[in-house]
Amino acid sequence: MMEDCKVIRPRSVEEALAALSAVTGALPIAGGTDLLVKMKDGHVRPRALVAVDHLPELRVIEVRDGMLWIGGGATHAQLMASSLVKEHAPLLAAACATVGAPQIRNRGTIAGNVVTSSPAGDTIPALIALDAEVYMRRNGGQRRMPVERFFVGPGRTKLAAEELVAGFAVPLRTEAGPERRWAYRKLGQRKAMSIAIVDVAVRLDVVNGRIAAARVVLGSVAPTVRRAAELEKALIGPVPDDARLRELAPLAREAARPISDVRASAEYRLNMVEAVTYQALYVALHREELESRGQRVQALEPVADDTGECCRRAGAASAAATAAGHAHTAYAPGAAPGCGRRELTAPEGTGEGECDGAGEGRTIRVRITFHSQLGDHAPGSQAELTLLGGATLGQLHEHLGLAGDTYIVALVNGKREFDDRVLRDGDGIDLLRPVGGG
Amino acid sequence: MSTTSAPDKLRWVGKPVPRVDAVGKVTGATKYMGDLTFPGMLWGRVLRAAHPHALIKSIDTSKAEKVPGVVRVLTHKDVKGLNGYGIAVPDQPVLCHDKVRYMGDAVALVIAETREEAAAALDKIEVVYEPLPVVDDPERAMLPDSPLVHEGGNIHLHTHIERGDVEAGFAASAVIVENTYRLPRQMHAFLEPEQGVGVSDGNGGVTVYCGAQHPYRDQMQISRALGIKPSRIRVVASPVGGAFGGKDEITLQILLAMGALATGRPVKIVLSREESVVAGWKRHPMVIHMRTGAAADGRILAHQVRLVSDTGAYASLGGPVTNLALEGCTGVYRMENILMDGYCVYTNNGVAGAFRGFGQLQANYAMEHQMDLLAEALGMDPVAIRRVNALRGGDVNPLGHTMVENVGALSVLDAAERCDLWARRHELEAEPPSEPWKRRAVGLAVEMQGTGLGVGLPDYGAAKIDLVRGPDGRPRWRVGLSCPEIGQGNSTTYAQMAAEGLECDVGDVEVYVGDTSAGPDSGSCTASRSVYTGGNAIFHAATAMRELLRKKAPAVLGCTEEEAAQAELSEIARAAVAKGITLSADGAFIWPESKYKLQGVFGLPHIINTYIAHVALVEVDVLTGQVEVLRSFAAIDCGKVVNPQGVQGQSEGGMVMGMGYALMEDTLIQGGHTLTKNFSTYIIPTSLDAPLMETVTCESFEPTGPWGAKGVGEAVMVPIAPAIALAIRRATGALMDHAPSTSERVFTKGGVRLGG
Repeated sequence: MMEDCKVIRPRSVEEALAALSAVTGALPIAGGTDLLVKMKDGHVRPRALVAVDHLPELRVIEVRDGMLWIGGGATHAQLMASSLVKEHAPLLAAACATVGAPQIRNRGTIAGNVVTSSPAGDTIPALIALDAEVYMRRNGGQRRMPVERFFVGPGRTKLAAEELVAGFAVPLRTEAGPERRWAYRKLGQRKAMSIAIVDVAVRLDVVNGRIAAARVVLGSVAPTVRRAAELEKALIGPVPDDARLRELAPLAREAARPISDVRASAEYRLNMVEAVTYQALYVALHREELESRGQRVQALEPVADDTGECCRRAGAASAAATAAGHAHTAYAPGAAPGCGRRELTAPEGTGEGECDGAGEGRTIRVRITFHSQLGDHAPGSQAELTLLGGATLGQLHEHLGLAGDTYIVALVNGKREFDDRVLRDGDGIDLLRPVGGG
Repeated sequence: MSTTSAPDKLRWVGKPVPRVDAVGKVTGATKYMGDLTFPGMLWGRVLRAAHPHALIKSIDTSKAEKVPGVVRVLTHKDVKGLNGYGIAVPDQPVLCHDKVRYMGDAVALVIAETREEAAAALDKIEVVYEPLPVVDDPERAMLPDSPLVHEGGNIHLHTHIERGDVEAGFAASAVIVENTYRLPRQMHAFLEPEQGVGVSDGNGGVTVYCGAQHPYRDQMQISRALGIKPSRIRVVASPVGGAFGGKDEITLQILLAMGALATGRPVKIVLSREESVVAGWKRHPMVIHMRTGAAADGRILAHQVRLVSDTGAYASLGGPVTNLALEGCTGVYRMENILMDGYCVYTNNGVAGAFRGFGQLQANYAMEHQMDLLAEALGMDPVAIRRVNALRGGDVNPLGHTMVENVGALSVLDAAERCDLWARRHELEAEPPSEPWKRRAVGLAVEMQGTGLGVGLPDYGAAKIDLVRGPDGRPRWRVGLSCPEIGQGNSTTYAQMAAEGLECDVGDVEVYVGDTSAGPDSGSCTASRSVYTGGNAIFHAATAMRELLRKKAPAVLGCTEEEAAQAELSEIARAAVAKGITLSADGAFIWPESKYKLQGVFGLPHIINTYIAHVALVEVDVLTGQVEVLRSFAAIDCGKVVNPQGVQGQSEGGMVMGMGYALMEDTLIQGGHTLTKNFSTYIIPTSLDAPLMETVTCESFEPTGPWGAKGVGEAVMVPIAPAIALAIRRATGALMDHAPSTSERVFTKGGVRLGG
């Protein structure tokens, strides 16, 4: 298993590259969410692991040389929270939101997801649809290629043993550019910790009511992620109506070479290629309409009746939280840790957030402790916030961008409270997400 | 809602008392058996079979014994007593000698200084096999020319139940519906795998720490296999990190005891998830054929059932599961004409045993489908047809037992009909779904879950209460009984009931469960029986303790009998411990049994039942077949609720587990080999998949129950599965007669292609 594998912890990317070229059989490790599983199963037996998860240089997300630069070590959670990614590559953020569960998204990196080269790698269709390029560094050199050309087969890429994926460059989206329509859609066996049966990323560039460029990229239906070239070609032209979309979507089948496994049969996968492609194209073209539908879905709360004795309160309280979690497709880049992040300050800091809560006149101060992965919300995982008098816990959640988060538990002064709790001056609030796996 | 419980003068029973085990579990301080370490502890690894069905020609352990770190390698030769275990029939070898019957069969136990050294030695054991044809289809296994898994034949049990005249019933029926239902092999998926430590006392005795559901029965089975007296064996079975029936049978206890006695040192075994999946128990896959006839007004006139249950390689509780499934095949309904045949069949498909619901889940899935299909055929409302047929108190049930106990079928049905989800279902179904290709629908199902072991099986419980002086000089009450805490919260309800009976503060009660040295045998933590049985035993022990204290009161308090009669029990207890007096009292309880016996059928009928109705709102993506359960509702009659959040926890956990059964869970076995060996391929619901859940209780008072309580552990996961499947039917028109309703199955049966 792992007994004769040593771990090297370089101080810089250069040292990491030197180690990779010096030690035969060395592999870089960042989140380890794929690699450790393969090592446990004995599928991979590295001689050494070169840890790169602590190198800040690899985690940079910025605009660089007219492109959006995403460091290979950026985690899925980081991508979902980045305002730059949301602006220029919301498709990628949406794909990241479907990876594993919060714990995995906090550890797993985009380079890891790509280098694993699974046909079901969630970020790969999005990167290809965005015409992203992958940058590979080696000791004393660097090269790049379109992500689309990076894959050789399941688990195999063009990355050389001594190379490291430094990051990805994604073309920027500009005001002057074409209208960007996009969708990422994943059909899985459940809503989290789910390997795709079929996943599809769609990007449509619309100019004057015409589709000028189309990318339809299919995951999990061939040895590698691939584009549905025929469909892409056929989409060029006037924006299709629903009837036309239904005619066009089956063209995606041509690119699929699915297999049967414990998740689904090849036949079903092939049928799903057209179904999920249709849905992705529909979502891309009708996003606004679907988002307003999504609002209505939330009107599912039970109407109080006279039968209940037990559990009424807990049931109703979890209602609001659950309703928001219903949408299957990430229309926006997900309600996930950090995605609705506001600038908060540590208790000793100077600035403070303001909340437009209900109530009038007097303000109150509350102290918030963010537990576990919610810690990203504030430096030191703690914050003090000034709120308007009468603000409720629900309004605080909204202010923090956590209102859509299904399983946040809030303690006020150590006691479990729900959305309708009115906050008082000096309250200490603990926010945590106690349940893993989704 | 019917609430018949007496005016509430109760101080603890019925109150939301925090769980007594909460702090330890939340902070991580609680030690599960795999967390235990002892000085000089060794590690054990089990060599499993290399073929699903094969003769063993020879076993050579000599090379393995030479692997560095290896202390002992045990085989069948080291089993001194009976080389077999099994709750009903001990047909499963502790260590196989001449034959293996499934991939999880244990062939040898390696004991080494480290886990890695033990693993290395596994590869060095040389076993010569002669593979046999694999028996993997229970229908074919029943044919006379099938290869035999056991010499006595592949049909472990055939139960035939006949009352009335089904042919006449069918002839008189206005409609007949006939279908075959295929139910999956669900896995318990407990967080804690099978694990434990055996510790020798250096004197021929042994302590086995291994999470399980009935320590005294484990003690008996260990004793029988090792050939030593039960009194030399202590079994500690609590706490358990989830069991759900999967730790009812022996898992590792005998191997742990053998290892410890053979080496004289503590031996720990922890199964990996993969090994747990392959070797562990599962829910019985069943094929249930039902033919049901009804009159124009909905009354069931005839009901015919043929049920085939795949118990895998060994019997364990396969027989009782088959029988309870047959009972469940009559639902909550009146039926005068029934003809039912159940077959429990051996195959090489893993092993199946006890699992929350115990056959009822499979049966209820089939029966509740039949009810909706009859309603469809007759143009009746799903609730109306159930109400017409529902059992009432005083009815003779389909098996011939007269229902004299509390019967809650109608009260849970009424609650379900009134719940917002059902009452507003047309409105909810008409609301635009979240996406244009989705359809919404509501489904409903009802169940009664027999609790306790049933007629013919000894079902009893005992408990012991000690009054001792606490460290602060105040009285402490120690309550001991054997039903372990498997996570459901019974230790808290025990504390509540003891405090009620002893007129003391719940904080002054210490509950000791799941340890043969700490309390008498209160039976197994199964069959939704632990609150009912353990609670009754505590009730009697507390009554005895009260009488004892009252008797001693004048002496203890140094006053007259009249004065003593005025004293509060807590005052007497305080005075007693202050004087250094400690007292003990025992209580025992034997289950009431139906006077009606079915010839040749053990375990039936049950007379104490939990009643439950579930309603589910689903949204089906008709282009992909993907199903989302948006909301669910439970109405439960479990008698008196002892702890409201305990019932809520059971209810919500049960609904999600039942939803997993309905939509995604199946342990796939092909040619005797398990395909879904880990949670990456065996899919269970995550917290994001859980619907918005609501639970209401239709409290009743069960006269034979402790403070009116019955049980709740199993029913909570049962009718949710057909309720979901029936909602899918309503949304798509598809009959989901093959569970689980994976997106592929729903698409294939009721999906819509883009063109059409």
